Amino acid sequence: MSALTMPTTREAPTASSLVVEQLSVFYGGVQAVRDVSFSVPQGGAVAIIGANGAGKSSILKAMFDLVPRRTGRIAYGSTDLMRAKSHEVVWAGIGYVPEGRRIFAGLTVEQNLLLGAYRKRWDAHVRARLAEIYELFPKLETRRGRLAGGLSGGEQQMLAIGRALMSQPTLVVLDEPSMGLAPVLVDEVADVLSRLRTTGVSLLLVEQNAELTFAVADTCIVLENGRAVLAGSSGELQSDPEVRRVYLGL
Amino acid sequence: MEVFVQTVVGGLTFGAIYALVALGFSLIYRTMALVNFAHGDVLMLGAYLGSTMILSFRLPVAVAMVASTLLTAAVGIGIERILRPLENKDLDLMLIGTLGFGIVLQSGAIIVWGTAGQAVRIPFGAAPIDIAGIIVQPYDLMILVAAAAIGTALYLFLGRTKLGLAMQASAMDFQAASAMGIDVGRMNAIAFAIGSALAAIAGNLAAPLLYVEPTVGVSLGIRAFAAAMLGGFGSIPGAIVGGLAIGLLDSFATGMFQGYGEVVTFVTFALLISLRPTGIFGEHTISRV
Amino acid sequence: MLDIGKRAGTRYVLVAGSIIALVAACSPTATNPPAGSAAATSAPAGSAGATASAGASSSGPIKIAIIDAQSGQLSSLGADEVQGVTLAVNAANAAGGIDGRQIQLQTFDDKGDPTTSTNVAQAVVSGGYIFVFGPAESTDTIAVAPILNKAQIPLITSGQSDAIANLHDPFVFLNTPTSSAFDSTLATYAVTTKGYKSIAMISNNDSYGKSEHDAFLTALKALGVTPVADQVVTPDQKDFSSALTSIRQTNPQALFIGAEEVESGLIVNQAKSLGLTAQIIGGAPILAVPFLQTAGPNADGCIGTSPYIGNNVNDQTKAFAAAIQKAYGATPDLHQAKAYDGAQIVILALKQTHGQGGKALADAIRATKYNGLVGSFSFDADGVGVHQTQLAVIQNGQAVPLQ
Repeated sequence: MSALTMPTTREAPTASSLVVEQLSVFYGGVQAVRDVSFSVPQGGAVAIIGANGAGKSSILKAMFDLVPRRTGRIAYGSTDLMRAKSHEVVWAGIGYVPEGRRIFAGLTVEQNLLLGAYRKRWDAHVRARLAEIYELFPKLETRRGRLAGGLSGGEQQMLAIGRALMSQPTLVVLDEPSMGLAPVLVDEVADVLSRLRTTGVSLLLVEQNAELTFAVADTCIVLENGRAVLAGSSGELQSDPEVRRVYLGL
Repeated sequence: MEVFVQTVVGGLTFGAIYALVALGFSLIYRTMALVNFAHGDVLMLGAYLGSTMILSFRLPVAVAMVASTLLTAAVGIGIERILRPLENKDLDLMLIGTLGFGIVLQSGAIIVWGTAGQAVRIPFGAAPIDIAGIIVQPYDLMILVAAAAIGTALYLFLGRTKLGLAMQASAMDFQAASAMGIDVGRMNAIAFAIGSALAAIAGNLAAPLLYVEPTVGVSLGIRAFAAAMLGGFGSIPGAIVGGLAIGLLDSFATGMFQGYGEVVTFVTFALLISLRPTGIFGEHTISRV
Repeated sequence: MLDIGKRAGTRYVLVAGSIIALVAACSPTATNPPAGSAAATSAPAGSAGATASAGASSSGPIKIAIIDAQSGQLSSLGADEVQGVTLAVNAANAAGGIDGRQIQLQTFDDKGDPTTSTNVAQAVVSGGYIFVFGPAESTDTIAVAPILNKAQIPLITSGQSDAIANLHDPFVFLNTPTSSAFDSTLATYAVTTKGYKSIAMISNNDSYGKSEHDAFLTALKALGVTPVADQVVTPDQKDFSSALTSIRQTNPQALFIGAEEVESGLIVNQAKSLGLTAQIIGGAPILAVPFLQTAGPNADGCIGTSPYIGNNVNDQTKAFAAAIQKAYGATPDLHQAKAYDGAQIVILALKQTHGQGGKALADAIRATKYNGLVGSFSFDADGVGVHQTQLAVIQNGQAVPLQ
């Protein structure tokens, strides 16, 4: 096992690749992320793994300006995300599935989905997109008029993913999509994400579930105490016994 | 019987005013998960602006109402702008901030208008409706209709329009809402504008039944706050039902227990709330992470 | 969970917000009442925190305090008092003061709340003031009286509750007749002059309403009449449908109202709208501006009683009204008038004591005979100076003496 300092690909950013350079995140006096650099190529799928509190979620939140202070560079295609406000990130084509689903509990399933397309006119195109999401998650269609807070955990996760897809993003950022889900549902999430990849959508995910991680991602970054300590292809890391033991609890 | 029915009429009239005020409380809560303690004083400002336009500038009542409502909405936007650095960061400080704005508005009103108040008359002189000794004033009916119409409009706005849904989403989870592309700060500004406009409308409608003075918003604000809680904080139908309930409760309590009526009102309210903390329509609680 | 912490802006807004709130909350303790700031500032400014024992200093300005509500529900009353007192004091200062010494006036805000009143009274005692005006509220007056008595600081209050006279406090003086004088005038008029047999009462349960209720009931009973209805409301009440409908069922010839100006106005409006035709009678609030504004056309025909029924009664009242109008742009009523009379009396007394306070000043006030706006002052042992009230009826929004 080699402790890589510069993980993953270092090729020049294409029009829609995510580039994170020297990212640091601070909560008051505490630094949660230290000089992390990586990129997600167009159509690629990158997973960030690591122990609890390693700073994984902070990287994703930093992309959406949801942390107190961040330094470094985050760019998606030609958009400098360090200059974008939270609500402007989605304009660049990035969908967010936050940790813990964070669906709008007091609104209906359909209202949640429509809000995913908030930046677009709610016209025939959005209706068509809605139909596609319902096709992807048939359960959501049967629950469309129900309050989202009343859904089961699995259904809420589907809703959170569906909501992020409503904006037709080219990059989807997922924070622990398997959290609290039964194994059969984890498989379902993995299946959906794999299908997404076939449409050319890039993925960046933070995940604890090894099965899901290695099924979806082609590159993994290992985070420890806010630093990227290891990076490599899913194949390499999957067979690394220490990675399996320390970070994935296998 | 006569006393009973007349008490109902009186209770409903003031209940409708509490309902209008409670709607503003609920809207701001629904968007920002914030209780705006300055709301009663914003109402006072609206009532002062409206009555001053009528009394000093001789504007027609309808013009004064629209103009004072717009001006008050602008003040609401100003309040939100000053509170904005605290939004989504420290709710406790924001609550204290709204309390401070209440004091500022009251002190400001004393500086501008003095401690003496002013009175406006009911804008139309229609004859009261007399049904077997029960007197109903057409103006009181108009207030009831206005409360119902505004409540319905607000309900449809929040549940059926994109902007309304986005405002609700902002209150439920501002970070998730931001990630959807919703400009939460703008939603808050809109909520404060509409909430303040509602307060101004309530103040203008209530003015002929009361006396416009710097503290006019205090007792209305307390009862409307109780109304919003009783109906389920944040719920639009709850604000209407809660307002009417508090109005009726107050009128019957003061009728039956006279000088102790106010105590009875609030003890009953406290009992009802402890039995059902979410209020009548509080089907879900909005929690802010 | 997703606590994203505080930014520098947070602290800025908190500080700014609390400063605004503090300034707003505390400003009334400074001299200037908002309505009369121009005139109030012309009194020499001085440090309120300076300490001197009461009545001891014989040079420098003579320090006099006003304790009254400058904020809260009763601030309108407090502002009226400040106007009346300041007008008199400014005139005295302009004419050379007391043996060449200026009178320095400082207003303290008690928010109309007895607890605040006692706190403020302590500040007055330690601040070296030798005389106190106010508070306008009887409850507040009773709260501060023992503190001022102990420090031998005389006080002239605008409260009119009989309970103040019943303190038998040699340092307490009233610039108005007590409630019983008002209400026996009113009861005698209703029962003896008009021959009313069925009289209903509605009063609120704060100190003013209670004292009016008790005084009127006593006066009625003395004349052998029992009220047909006796409804009690709260000072904060807005809807009187229940009480007024109950009263309407007794079909009274007269309805007595014992409540402050605005509430009396709301009661009259709702009584008229419910078709009550009884003759409305009440105390001084019926003749005051806020009542006339609140009740509007419904005020016409109402009968009130007061030692000061209006500004057009004689040359003295006309001149006073013009002076208040000029200084503050306000139309005075009983509140300004009795405060002005009280101030004139203490100025006369200070001239007698050559600026000395304490028991000498109290004795001088008691000995002062003064023909004022609210009547001829001649103090009795309980500190009551005027004993008569006049009746007036509202016609076209104006109080007109009743013949």
